Amino acid sequence: MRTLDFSRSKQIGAALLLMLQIPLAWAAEVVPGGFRWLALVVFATVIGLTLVVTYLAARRGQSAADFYTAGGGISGLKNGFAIAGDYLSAAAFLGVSGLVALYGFDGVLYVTGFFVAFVPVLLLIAEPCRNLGRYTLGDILAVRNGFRQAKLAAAVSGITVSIFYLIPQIVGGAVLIKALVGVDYEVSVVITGVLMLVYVFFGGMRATTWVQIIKAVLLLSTCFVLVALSWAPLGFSLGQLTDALDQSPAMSAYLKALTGDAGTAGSVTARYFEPGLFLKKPLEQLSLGLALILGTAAMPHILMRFFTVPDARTARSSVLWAMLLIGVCHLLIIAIGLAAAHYVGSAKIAGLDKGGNLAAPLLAQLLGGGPDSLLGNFMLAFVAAVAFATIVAVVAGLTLAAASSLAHDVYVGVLREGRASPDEEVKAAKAASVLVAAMGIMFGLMAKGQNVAHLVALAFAIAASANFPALFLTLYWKRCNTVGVVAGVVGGTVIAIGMVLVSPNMQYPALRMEEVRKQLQRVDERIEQAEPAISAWLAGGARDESYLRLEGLKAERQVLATQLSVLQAGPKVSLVGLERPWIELRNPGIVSIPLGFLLVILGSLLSRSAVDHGRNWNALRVRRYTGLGRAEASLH
Amino acid sequence: MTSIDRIVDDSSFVAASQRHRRQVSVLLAVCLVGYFCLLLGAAYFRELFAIRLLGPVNLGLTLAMSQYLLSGLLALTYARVMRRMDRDMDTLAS
Repeated sequence: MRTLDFSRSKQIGAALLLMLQIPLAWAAEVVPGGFRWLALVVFATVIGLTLVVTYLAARRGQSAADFYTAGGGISGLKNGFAIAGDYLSAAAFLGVSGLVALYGFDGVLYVTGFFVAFVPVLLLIAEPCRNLGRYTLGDILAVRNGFRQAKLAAAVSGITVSIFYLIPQIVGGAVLIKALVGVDYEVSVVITGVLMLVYVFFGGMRATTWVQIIKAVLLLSTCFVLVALSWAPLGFSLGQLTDALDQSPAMSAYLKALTGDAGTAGSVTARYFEPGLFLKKPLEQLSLGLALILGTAAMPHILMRFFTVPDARTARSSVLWAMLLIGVCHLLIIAIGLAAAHYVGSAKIAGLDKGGNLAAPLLAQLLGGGPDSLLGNFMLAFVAAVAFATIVAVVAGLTLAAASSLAHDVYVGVLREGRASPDEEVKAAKAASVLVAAMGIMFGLMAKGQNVAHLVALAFAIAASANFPALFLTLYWKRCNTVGVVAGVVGGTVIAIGMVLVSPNMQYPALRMEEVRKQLQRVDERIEQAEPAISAWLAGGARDESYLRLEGLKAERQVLATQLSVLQAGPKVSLVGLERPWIELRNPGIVSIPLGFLLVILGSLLSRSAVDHGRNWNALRVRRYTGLGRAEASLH
Repeated sequence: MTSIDRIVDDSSFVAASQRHRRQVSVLLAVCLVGYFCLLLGAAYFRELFAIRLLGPVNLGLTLAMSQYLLSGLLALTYARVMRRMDRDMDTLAS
């Protein structure tokens, strides 16, 4: 957790809050004050629905198996919906539709990796996990490796991944509530945290599953409605939409400003359909792509879903259903992005939020009749509430995964060496969920005003560098052993986090200060140029535009000066004491994933384990395919 | 554990698991090659990706969208392949 060291991050947080006012303030301009009650009503309805489901789930008794796996009897279709609900985050819905609206091709390229990632899940992970594990990743690693070492290693990286993934979700949820309902950030974080705790604590996996199913249905139908409404006037023709974008003067002007390309209108709009507007560094893209398609297969909250089905065949069919649902949702999200670029305009979307996160809400508002209409604001509020439901479902899955690992792997496995009564195990799991929720809330509060979006990529990178090599080689490599698994998990985690700590993802006050100084200088120059206008005005001229511009520049100067003074008062170096990043790579995957594999292989080859691998390996192979022996083995 | 020992030595288990490994490797390789071709093409072959096919829709966009088709086909192929595996395993386990 070193990236969120308390005292330091508070100072940085205070400084950043000033700089990041744009994303925090956006909704004030989007939802007119008179319509806030509408947002509140829609939010309350969605939350109320999930609480009813939790209440119903909680009435049905809670054994350890109920808590971790909802009794293990979920059908393939239901689990498919739940996987989709677990996986499709608000970043996919709001973020990707925005990226497509702003950057066209690069947005599409970005999202495909999240879908392709399910092929390795289906081919390599889903069925063996169901056949070998009971509740957690630690169970699978412990099948043929040293019991306590494997469980501890799995818990360390699993909980790290869950928490890193949890923080941006909680922050995103809180920003959304604050923006649309007007509740303070701190209160919003606590609301999100308490909600996820209520689902997990009272309803365990059963409630979490239903929250995820409801969210998947809500998200898919909302996307469908948005696409239907926006594509109908175009006769549902992709060709007509792309042609319209290609010939749009607004798109051409937006792209000219974005790229500095002064070509003819036709040649500039072509750039929207070509690579290079957003993803400018090929190596970063490869690195992120690798982390996505291997990391997804080792995300604890995704793995956990495969323990909720009765057999390996259901695990397989649930991945197939999930792929269908996620694929359709991605295509709808891409369609929403294109429609938002066409109707709302990329320039307007970028103007309100640099990251484009408002593309879908703005499109909904426009389709409903615009910012002054009741229907328009209802649709905006609805889209925002769906985005919030999306966050809450993901967050519940992550909390459950982290709590399970903490209770089942660390407490029951490592501390009690597998000897705990079922009653104790349930108590431990509930206590662990409180602990995880408290941690989530605490980090969420500390992250106020910070840009935590890169933690999502980091979570995937850790999962791909630490969990995936250990899991994959445990399943498919005969000579893999405990030393290798522990070396790979610990090493992969440390390398991935270490690389991010010295990368440009961190905040470098010295560099930032240089940047602010340069901006300040530019503003000063422009003020100087505009100065003659004010003397003209004082001399009796009209209060014209140049005067207003001067006022604007002065306000801008004021903001920059405040930023500079905050930076000067704060620390001069990054979290790990660097003035500038050591490495340029933001996504560590391309280095840390091969190293993770190498560590497992070297650790296994260099150590001589006393365990009889021939027998263990054969038993594992048979169980991997048939699930034979799963019941006995799980009674550790 | 006796049933496990029996299955491991069964020649039909050996054959089935070898076939399974081969088929999964091929499917996985196709998936990885397809995806990294897209990433590498977007990074290093931008002129190629910019070739227009249908109106403003170019080769790159078509390749990107075809990932959905390719992954879907791979998943369905896998489901078909596994049906035979299921039958073999049912026979062995009984």
